[in-house]
Amino acid sequence: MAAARLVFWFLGRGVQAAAKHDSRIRQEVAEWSPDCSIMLKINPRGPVMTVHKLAGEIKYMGSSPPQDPELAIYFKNIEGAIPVLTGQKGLAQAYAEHRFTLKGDIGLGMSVVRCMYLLETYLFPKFITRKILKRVPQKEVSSLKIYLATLFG
Amino acid sequence: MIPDYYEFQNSVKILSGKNALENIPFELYNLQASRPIVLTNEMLEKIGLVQTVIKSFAEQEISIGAVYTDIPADSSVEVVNEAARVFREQNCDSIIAIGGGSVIDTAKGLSIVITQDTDDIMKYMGSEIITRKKHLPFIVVPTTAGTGSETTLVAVIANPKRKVKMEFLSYNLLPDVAVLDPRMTTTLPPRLTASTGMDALSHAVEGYTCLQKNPLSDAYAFAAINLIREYLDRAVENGKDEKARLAMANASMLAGAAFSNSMVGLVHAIGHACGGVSQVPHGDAMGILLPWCMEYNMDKLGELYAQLLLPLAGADVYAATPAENRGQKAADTIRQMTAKFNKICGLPVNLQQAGVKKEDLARIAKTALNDGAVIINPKESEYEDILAILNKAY
Ligand SMILES: [Fe+2]
Repeated sequence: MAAARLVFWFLGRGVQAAAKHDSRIRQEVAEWSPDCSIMLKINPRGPVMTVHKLAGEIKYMGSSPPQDPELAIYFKNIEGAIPVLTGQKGLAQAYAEHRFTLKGDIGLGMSVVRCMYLLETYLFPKFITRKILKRVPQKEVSSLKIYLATLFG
Repeated sequence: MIPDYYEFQNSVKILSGKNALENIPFELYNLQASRPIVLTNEMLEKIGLVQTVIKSFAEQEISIGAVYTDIPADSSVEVVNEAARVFREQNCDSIIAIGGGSVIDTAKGLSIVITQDTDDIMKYMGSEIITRKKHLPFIVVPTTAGTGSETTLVAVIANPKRKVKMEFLSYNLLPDVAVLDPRMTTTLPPRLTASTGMDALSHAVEGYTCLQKNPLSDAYAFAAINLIREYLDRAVENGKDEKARLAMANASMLAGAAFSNSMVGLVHAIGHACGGVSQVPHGDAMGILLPWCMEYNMDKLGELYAQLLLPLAGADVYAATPAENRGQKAADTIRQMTAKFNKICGLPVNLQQAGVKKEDLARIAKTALNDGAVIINPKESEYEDILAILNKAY
């Protein structure tokens, strides 16, 4: 559970950082509705992670669940979430296996999945991304830059 | 091949064959319902199909609460809400949907409104959000043989005000009973028979190859393709051939169950976009795109396509084709089917014939990229990949 919380922190801060430096993520986020919030939760007891689009930028909002998220992804249990959070299984595979439910617009869900793929190419080493992504995208900046922005940005 | 993990549900009871319609009253009784709303469209009422169903209720203790025919070609949230108003006003206790994809999707939407007791189905958008609050008996009588909606967990309903297509996926949207009666499809014209048949074929091929394929969906997909090989020609050439009609109704139902559980991929992502941008009928798009997308996927899925050559072309062709050529031969076989239907009834063989403008290809590719089915396709595809497929198919 503590590990999951740490990964959530990394993903949340990471996507906030990557959206600044990767044009493809920026483009995805630009298409989300203004003031859109997205929640990721592991059922039944959490942890929870929220990102919020504010003034065109994506912000990591920590673990407080938003009032009415536009998109909510609920892992059915921690056992189904861990392989995804630790880079052993891709999100598409997890979706196909019904590991999580998805409340909201599935099109927006797919945009989030594409952002996660891009984020994963920065955060995970190549031997992992080669396994979980069907095709590993090109990096636009170095992973180090994203890491530093994630930790200190 | 056994996946590490999979889920599968097809709880729909199938009544298939001559006089299947006459058993609907018993099924209603079995489900403890006695006052159904009948959802259908005006055309089906005009050509007498609805009367055929209602006549089959003669002398049974069923009173039809309402017949709702005002369903357009694309199901929308307004129609769902209006049907719900009639349902409540007439004290109905069950749903009978007679029609193709849009009627069945409307019925699924109605089922959400009634069982969740809501006025705003938008809250239930997504995957596995709808829980079974109460059971609303739901019987489907398909009048086309293609969409497979009678055995799928999905409904797509437009929300014109907010300009979105709402997607609902839940095992609780599966009907209780699907009634496959050859009388329901004998009036389907050859062109539509071919088009919807190619849709069923695309469900089986994608169901056999997508991320969540499993031994159960494999069996359904294989059985569907066997029936399509044997009977689709016959149904196109002679609509009155009841055996062929019944076989195609079964193929559609089987392929629906396959893709409901393993999901569809690239062919559908691009096909939906061709429909959205250029109004290409869904089945027409499937017939055109299927072989091109198979060739695109070949390096990843060639082995699975090779296995499909057996049901697609039969044992003799399969045995006579060297193993390394079978995948390509499977794509070629489908291309020949589309070409044959082009001769018989004018089914388009390329996007140009289907009325797509060359300058729309870029917009189609961009739209396809945002379709959920892209992510389920086992091979990654980006904008340029999709555009290349579209150019080949043009
Ligand atoms: Fe389809």
